[in-house]
Amino acid sequence: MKRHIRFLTVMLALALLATLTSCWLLEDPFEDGQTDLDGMTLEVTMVNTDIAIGIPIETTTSFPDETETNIATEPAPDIRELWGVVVEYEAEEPMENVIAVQVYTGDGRKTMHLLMKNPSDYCVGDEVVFTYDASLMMESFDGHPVWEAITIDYAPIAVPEKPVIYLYPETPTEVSVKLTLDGKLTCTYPAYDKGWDHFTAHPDGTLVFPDGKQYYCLYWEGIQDMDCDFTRGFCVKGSDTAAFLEWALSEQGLTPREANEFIIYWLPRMEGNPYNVISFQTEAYTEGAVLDIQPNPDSLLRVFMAWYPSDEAVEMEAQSFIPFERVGFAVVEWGGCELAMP
Amino acid sequence: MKRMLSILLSLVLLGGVAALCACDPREEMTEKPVIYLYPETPTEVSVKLTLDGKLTCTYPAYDKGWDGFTAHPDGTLIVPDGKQYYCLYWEGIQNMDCDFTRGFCVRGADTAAFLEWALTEQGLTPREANEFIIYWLPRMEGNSYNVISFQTEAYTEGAVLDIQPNPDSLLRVFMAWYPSEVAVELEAQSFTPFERVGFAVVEWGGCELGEP
Repeated sequence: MKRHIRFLTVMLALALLATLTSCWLLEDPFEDGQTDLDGMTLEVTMVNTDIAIGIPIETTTSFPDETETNIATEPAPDIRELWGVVVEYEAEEPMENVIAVQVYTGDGRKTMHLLMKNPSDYCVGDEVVFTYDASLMMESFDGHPVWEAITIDYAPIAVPEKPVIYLYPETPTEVSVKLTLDGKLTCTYPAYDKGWDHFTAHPDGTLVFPDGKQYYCLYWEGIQDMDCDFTRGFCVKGSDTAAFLEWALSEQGLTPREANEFIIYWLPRMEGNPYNVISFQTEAYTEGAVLDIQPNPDSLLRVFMAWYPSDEAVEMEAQSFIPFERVGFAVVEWGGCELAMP
Repeated sequence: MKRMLSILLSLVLLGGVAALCACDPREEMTEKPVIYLYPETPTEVSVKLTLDGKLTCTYPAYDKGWDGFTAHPDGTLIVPDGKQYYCLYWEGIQNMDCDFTRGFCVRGADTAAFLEWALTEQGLTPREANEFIIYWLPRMEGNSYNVISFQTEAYTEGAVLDIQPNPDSLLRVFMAWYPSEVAVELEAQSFTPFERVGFAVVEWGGCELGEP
């Protein structure tokens, strides 16, 4: 009997081992960047696992006179500039002189680790702009990629998201639009070269460009130097956000369709927060994103929502809106930005 | 000895099977499906969505369904409380195993042009395609490459739509994709042509994968 029990115990132990081994083998070598429901940061996805500490990674650049077949010793420098916010640096085995920055890139937000000469100059919450050489990546002890900061400086920033511009002339009209941004454009559709030029706007809002393609709005996105003003605004419970926006956007003069688009874009990121602190910006936004529309519209509405999530209710003096009269050749823009910190 | 060995083997197999079951099935964030409805005459419609997963955001609010709203030929939807919408919007976390056997590997800079072509091929109107592109482009344009595969059953079997009355034509465009530093060889996907007839319903959405 005893022998049977011992035998069974050994078998069970082996089965357990097999289970654990299979689980480990089936696990992804990379951790998925899991977005939690509040739309928080994605983890950085490692691109190349074959990196030894301190050695520049092999690049795909080929050198015409290369006769050797080993790793290229001098990868071409790839200097990039990014904007972001300093966040808490968390690592199992933290490296010295490293800070963590949550950066704004074309595909959302990532956390990068920067090796700096003077890390103590930068505190959590500081908004910065920095440059680094993307061809030189190091690896920290616990596997995070680390980049060396070449230059770094403070910069008050906002990432205006999704401004879309609708144009409604009374008759088909040839229009040109120029946007002067105190910052940098990151994505436009249709493509903004030196302007959106000589397209025909139709009364129903359709825009037809010289190449024949049609659009229902002009879309742009960028990084803008902006000091948002939160003196007046609204603190809204997450679950009340849809109803609040329906009211606020209608008050400001958006049509149901325009408001619907706005809400669909922002709601998923706001609904799940305990509170959303909201302030619609006027000059703080428009003076850094100047629109020049030819011919001049008869009425122009620009709705820009700056906001940030909050765990607690914040007392605020309510904002009032200037009524908008949609007359003649009307142009309407809406956009917004989520702030990392008030 | 033989018996011990066979028992050991069965236990190892059992362990393996248990491991497979214990490991989480893939959960993907299904983003931004919007559903447009275009009846030929104003029609009262109810839509139910059965999701193998969890709804995270809907607009208008999906309680146990989007019920008893009136759809107009121009796409406007008026719900019982009088509010109007131009589409039904939902977002959720879905159990889904995306199929990347066929698809496209597109340079970041070519993404807008690619999508214009692919969405037209699949039957979206310029307006619907425009909305789609505006939503996805900022996240795709900056990548070296985007590996794209439009999902059919892999998506629809986990997000079942029940529309009353039944539409005459239904189009569901779902783009699964992930960014890549290197070009990936992929057999091109072909699209089933779509005939927009009668009471037409069109949905588009997508999901970005962390890793294939």
